[in-house]
Amino acid sequence: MKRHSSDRHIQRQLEHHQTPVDAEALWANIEAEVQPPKRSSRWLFLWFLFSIIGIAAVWHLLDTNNKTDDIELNAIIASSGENQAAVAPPLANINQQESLANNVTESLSTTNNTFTEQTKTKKLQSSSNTTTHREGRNIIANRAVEKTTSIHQFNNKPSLKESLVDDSNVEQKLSSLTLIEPNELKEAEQQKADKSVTNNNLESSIPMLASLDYELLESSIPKIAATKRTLAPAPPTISRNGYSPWSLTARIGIGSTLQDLSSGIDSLREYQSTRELSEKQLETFSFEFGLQWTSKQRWYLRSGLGYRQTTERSSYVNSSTEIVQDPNRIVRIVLSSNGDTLSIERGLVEGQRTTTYSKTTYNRYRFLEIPIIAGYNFGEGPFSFGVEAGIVPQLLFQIKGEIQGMDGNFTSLETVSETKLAWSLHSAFNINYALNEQWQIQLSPVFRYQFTNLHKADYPLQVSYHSLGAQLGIRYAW
Amino acid sequence: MTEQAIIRGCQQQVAKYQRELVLRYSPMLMTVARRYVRDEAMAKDVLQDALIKIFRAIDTYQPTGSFSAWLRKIVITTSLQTIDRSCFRREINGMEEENEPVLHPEVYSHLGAEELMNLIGRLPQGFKQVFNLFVVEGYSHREIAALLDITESTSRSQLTRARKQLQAIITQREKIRV
Repeated sequence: MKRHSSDRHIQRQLEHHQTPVDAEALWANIEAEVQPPKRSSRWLFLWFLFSIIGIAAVWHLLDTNNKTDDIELNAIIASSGENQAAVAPPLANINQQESLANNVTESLSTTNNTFTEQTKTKKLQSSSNTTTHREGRNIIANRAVEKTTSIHQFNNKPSLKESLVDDSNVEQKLSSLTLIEPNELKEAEQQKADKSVTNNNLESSIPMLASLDYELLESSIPKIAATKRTLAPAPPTISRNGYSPWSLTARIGIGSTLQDLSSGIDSLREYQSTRELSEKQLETFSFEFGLQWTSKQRWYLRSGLGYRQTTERSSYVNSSTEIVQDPNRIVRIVLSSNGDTLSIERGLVEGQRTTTYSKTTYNRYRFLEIPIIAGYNFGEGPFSFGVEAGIVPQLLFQIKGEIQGMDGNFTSLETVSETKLAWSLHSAFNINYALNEQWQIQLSPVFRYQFTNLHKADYPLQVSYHSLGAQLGIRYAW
Repeated sequence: MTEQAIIRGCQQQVAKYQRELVLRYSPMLMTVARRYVRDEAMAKDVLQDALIKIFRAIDTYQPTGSFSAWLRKIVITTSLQTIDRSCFRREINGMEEENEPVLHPEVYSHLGAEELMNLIGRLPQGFKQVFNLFVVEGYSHREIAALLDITESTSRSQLTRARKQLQAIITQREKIRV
């Protein structure tokens, strides 16, 4: 089909015609879709995530400590009529428990088979005068049956405990006991039964021992019904595989150094450029030893003592010119007509002497630091992963080296920097490999951001050194 | 900022150059989109989608042909993907050539771009697509057939009808003016 002459006219008219359009709005609409995600926002997101992890870990630790304190503050006093046997603060130590059991056994034999327990806690002290406590009750019961049986054995051999508690002699004694149990104490006991966090063997025995059922009498006085005893399930331990939540860590790291040199003064831009060109950042070396606490939810906190050394090479070439005077220079030569030298006249001659010199120094910043790190581990099996972040107070205790000063000459680094306390932010991704249940090796890409200017406050340039590298570590959990 | 710099910048996903491309070529590309779709709002949507496609495909651009033509082609393709193609399905083949209307140049010569766009916009969808592709973009019927997934004879018949109808619209318009 041929093209008409009118086609050319229409084509000419429309081919380059432009329709007004709000291109800025259009760009605003599509910018997010066509632009790759910005690094800064990614970093911000990571910092935010790590901060949340840190806060959550600290909160969890504090929360756990409070629970433990509540348990330790509990004290039990057993009384029987005129006789009162003080029950030691539970869980303080086994000897105290045995002493308590002895006292209670004696009181049981000399009274009318009734006893009342009092629990003295900070919470309950004002409201409970005659209370009962399961721990005390069970300790009493166990001791009454077999003085030689230790609480420690109960922990390890629940079947033995069960058989002892079921002893008919005990049942006979306990069935007649009348207990008073205030509501507050019941709540406290309920909370305690739900808690799984204990720090020693005796604490871990509480839910195990607190298995005696009781009945409420008409007068709202609970009575021990020692007919059926079932062992409560063993509480989960804090650490995995029965190990302590505490572990020792050692890490060694190396990374590249990133210099952050800045100045708010425009006239110093040239000097700043000179510094940047003459200083080449080398490696950052570090090692640290620490103690780590790991919760059963896999959060952990780590702290310890570390050493860090940042190295850079400062080198530049400079030249200087000076005026020199030489009094023994030839200033005139008298020649004869045939070209022979007749005389030489010497005198003072001025000249310029240019000296070029270069210098290279290795500058070192050495820090002692106390990392305060929070993290979270995830993954099962020998390989696991973790993320961690934290704040690191640093003591810059040694500065060595030289830089090019503003006058062009080398200047000792100590004249522009000083010993000071610095702060930096640590973040890492951990790849863990468990060698066995106690030893674990770790490889961690690490980023360290230093907040503090290492130059003196009155020096017009600010400098800080960040680093990006890797740490190799080992962890021992006992 | 040269066209080459814009292309290179966009290939490196530099926002400054991407923005420049949008600012520089949007008015021209908007005209293209308007010719193919129903209304201006739809044309804006098409243009937006097309620009995203352009930025994602700009790595594949080969500087052998005109950059503007490459941009236009993406806008046309995007436009055609959004319109209803059922308008071509009911076409009867074999109508081309015999009743091809011959339009006198004077009929069009006094019409400006906006007027022409309005008149073409009044054509039925199928006529409009083929007319634009053949007359304005300069595509052959073979290319149009491939682009619209129709036969070449359908493309021809659509064009013939489009010409007739456009002439009728213009004639009617002139009568009203007189």
